[in-house]
Amino acid sequence: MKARNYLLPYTYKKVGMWMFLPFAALCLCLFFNVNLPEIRVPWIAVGDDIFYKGEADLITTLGMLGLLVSLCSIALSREKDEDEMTGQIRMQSFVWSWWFTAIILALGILFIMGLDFLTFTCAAIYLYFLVYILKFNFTMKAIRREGK
Amino acid sequence: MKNTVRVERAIKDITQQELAAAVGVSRQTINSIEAGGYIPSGVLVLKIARYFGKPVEAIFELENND
Repeated sequence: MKARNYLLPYTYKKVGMWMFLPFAALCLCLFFNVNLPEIRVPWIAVGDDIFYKGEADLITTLGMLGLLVSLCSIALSREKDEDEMTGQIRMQSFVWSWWFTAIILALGILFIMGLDFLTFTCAAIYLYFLVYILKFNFTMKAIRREGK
Repeated sequence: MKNTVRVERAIKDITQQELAAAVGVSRQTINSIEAGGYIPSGVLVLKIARYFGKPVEAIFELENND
């Protein structure tokens, strides 16, 4: 059986890195409750009445979506010199970040209460991506340095 | 798994980059294989052996703890 590769081309990594800076800055502003202008637009939402007409804050929605797209582009793009060893490092980094995020989540569940827990879960959505990107890139950097 | 890739490369007088290009991997992968830090897949092992024109067992050898 030939293994399928679901990774994006390398160019997406560069695009994701450029997208990351403004969207991460925007999400940090949202996280720390910095006053940003509100742009409310009619939106289709899912709730008690499935698919009801609601309202969305355009800046929050775009900020969070943009951050997710940029993190996906960085995490799920091929390296310039992608080969089987990169694939193995990728898999190890996936497992490592899975465990790391699970421990952080467990600590959050145990020790963060009330509304703070809501903020924590919002931030935790992106934690897995961030930890994976850091772990994978540090490992690749160490291997490249070793090979020089 | 032990290997003699570095020795075979020296005999053939080729660089890591040349071997990497011939078998379709990065130079870092060849370096890690030579250093014993990475155990290559069956396909890559066969490609390396074919490149050097030797049987797999002549280049790669299992260790007791494998």
